[in-house]
Amino acid sequence: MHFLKVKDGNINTKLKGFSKQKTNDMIFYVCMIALPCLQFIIFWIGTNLETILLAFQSYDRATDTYFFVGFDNFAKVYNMVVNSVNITQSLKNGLTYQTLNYLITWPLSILFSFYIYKKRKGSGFFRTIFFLPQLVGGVSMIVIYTYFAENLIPELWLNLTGSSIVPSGGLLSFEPAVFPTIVFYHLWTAYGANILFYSSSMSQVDASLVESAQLDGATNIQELWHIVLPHLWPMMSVFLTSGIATFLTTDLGMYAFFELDAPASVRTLGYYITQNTLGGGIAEYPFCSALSLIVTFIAVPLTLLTKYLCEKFGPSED
Amino acid sequence: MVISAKKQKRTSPIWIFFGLILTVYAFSLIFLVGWGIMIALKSPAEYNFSGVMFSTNLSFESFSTALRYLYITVRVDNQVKVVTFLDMFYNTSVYALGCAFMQTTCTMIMAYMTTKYNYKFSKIITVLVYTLMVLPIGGSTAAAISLAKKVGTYGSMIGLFIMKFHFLGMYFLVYQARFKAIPNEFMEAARMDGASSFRIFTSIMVPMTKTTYFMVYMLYFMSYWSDYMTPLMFMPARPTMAYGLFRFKSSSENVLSIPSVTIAGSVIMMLPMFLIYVCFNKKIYGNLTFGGIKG
Repeated sequence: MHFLKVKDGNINTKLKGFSKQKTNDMIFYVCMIALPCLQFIIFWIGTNLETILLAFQSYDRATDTYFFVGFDNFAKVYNMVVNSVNITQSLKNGLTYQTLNYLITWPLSILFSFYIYKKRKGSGFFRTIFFLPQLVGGVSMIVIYTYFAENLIPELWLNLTGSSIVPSGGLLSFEPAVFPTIVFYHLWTAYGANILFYSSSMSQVDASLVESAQLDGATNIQELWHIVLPHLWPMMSVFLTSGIATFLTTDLGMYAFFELDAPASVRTLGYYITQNTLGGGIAEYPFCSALSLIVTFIAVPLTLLTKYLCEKFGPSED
Repeated sequence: MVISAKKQKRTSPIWIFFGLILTVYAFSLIFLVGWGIMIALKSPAEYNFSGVMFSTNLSFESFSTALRYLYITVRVDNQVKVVTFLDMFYNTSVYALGCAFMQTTCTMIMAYMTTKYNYKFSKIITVLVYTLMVLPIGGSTAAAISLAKKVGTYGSMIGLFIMKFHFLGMYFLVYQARFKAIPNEFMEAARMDGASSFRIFTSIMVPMTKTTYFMVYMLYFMSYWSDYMTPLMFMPARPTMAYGLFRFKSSSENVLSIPSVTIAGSVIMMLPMFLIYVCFNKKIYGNLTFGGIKG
């Protein structure tokens, strides 16, 4: 009320000052977000538009240009899916890996993180060692693992049992053993980043809540189930939801293991797209774009459904 | 009578069992990497003699062979160019340092603007990041390469930096959580002292989030250090070590086909990461958390 009683000049000055601050804030805001938004428009929206445009075109080698072909690329994708046994196998491979990932990697990451969060014996040591695959780096790790699987394991098996582990070569040369060997690699080395996020999030659990649970006689399992997991659920649901369509997009690092020559029986759909993009060159871009669009149309509703189920049936901290 | 109560801490059998499993798993990882380092410490002649089994006859010959012979050839403007291991090390350093800086900085800026400036557009950006993090809406790699060629970012390091100047990803949420934890009173007090918005951002907000910045930067750096796919696709004329190593592994040249030399190349590549981890590991395990995601 006192503010309203001041002289007109003071009101105008205060109002002018207030709106000048707001204007300055707006100018600062626009200037700061301009470049990131421009980058997003060009390289995210632009890439998606380019995907859509390419999906309806074909490449003419003679004139080095693209021309409109309607739904021909989508028809090619349909024929490929229907007639190619390899595509069915690729989808099965992706599903197998993703199922094992959810059944093994996910729960073990949470249990490992819980052990570290509770600061049990050796937790600092384990936290460092589990991060080793990320430290060593993807390609270096794959190089070492390749020789490990191709040379050391068969040699050790021969020395221990007197017989060969596989009829010929190593675990990455004998086709029936390739897929399990690669899946094992991913399940073996997957924990570092997950543990980083989960254990960090677990450390944010309200200590008083944990103490009162312990005073009430709650066991560690009960603490994990009733307190920690509900707290962790938002992060878990993000990982779960964003990973549900991985079976369509993952290439399982096949390119690093085999370049363009992975055996047909171990390929995934993601590797198939990479193989065509890098191996086929610009002539294959339209087909790869059409395939990527179809993958997106399948993956998006699947992901939305998973998100809905996570929100409906997931635990809450309340 | 004074009774001293000794509180005996009994370890549950479940913890012991779980600890054993973790120990076995940890040592399996150490074994894999340790075996790799041992093979790298064998000379090519020693490898031909003792193969993949353990040996005490170790030397650095494979490392010097790797540094001398690990090179690849690339085509630049229809000319064949030799890229040595040191060139690749330089390319990797510039690529990882630059891309990590661009992505970390962009993410920090956008997280700050959307947290502290409560405009409708800020909410749109936040929802967009959540949505794109969860929904697999992404253009194809083929389209990305095609677009990069059209806009001129293909084939250059600066182009890759521009392509990595984005705010999408999980660390946006980590930054948002960090900025939300900073009271707005700091901004208000600075405004009353006459500080501009830019001054508030650079002199108050950025210093207060430097731990988070460093941690996110390190994580991005480690990721870009071992990234071979992006340079392979968008900058094939300036190969990084990861790409070079990938090519060595598939090479049929005599020297490169000796495992000890190729693995020595891998070890050289991982050494900077180990150094960074030894120096900064406490900062890397910072506050990597983000809030609930609903709606």
